[in-house]
Amino acid sequence: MKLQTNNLLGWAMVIVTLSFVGFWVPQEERQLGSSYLIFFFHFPSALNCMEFFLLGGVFSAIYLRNKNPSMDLWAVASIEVGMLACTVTLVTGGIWARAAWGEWDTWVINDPRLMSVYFMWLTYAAYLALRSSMDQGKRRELYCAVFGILASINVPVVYYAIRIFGKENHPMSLTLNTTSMKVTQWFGWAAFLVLYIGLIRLRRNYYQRCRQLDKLQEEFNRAQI
Amino acid sequence: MIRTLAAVSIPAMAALASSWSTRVFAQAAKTPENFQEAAADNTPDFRVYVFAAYGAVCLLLFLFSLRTISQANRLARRVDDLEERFAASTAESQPEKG
Repeated sequence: MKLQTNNLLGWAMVIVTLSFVGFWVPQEERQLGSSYLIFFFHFPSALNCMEFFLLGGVFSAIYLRNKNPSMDLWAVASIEVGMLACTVTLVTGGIWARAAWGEWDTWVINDPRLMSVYFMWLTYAAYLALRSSMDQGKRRELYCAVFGILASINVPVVYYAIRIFGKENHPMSLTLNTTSMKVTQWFGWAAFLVLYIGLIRLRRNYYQRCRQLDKLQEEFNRAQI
Repeated sequence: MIRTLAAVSIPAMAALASSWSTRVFAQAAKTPENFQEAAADNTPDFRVYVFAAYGAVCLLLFLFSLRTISQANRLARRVDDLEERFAASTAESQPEKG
């Protein structure tokens, strides 16, 4: 297996985003200073992780409907890449929080958005733990599909956490003033979307091979007996 | 042995829990205005750290891609090997049946 076209395109777009951040956008923001620059990686990862968790829920629901094993593979691939994006979000958010607020870990208790993201990360970590603790088969696919749907309920909660719970350290959205900032924000989102879709396809192919190998191993063992 | 360990570890854990809870309560008492004040004080230049974080993120994603590709290639080789062995064993068993 090689890097596919959309992986390469994704990397090229990420490099363009980096050059926008380095050379095009203003290097200081009025209130946040230069620490705001981390937003251009933090925002795309946050938005993409929510999209991929929702996508995992959709694939799980389709699996439950038509029992197509391929949907189970797409679901786990989306959730794995969503976990990666969520980890990037938490780490970049922590660095930004340290720079802007002087605290690494305000999310533990003081902020509904950050606490709900942390909870979402733990939920999907539990999904992956559940998956790796069971043998391959219909039972694992069924349990993971149900878990995937239930876990995706938390995604809208994360998005609306500030409106629901009211307390606001983390802003609902950051207002960017200049065109260069807005273009970089959405170009960065598109770049990471393409890159993460490429990663999902790679993971899905990997799981497809795992399934193929398990089937062959079973057939081989049966033939030996 | 256990008593000695307990004598050392229990006070240490109690001190740790106490300092952690003090920090958590102090943090919980902060208001959004406190955080905004801290943000307004934000004068140092963080660009080096920001670009270091960007580099770390890109490296993580690149290593994740490479790992997936190498795992999939290894699996593909095993699948090919098993298919060959399976075909060979089927071919061997055919004359016996005939």
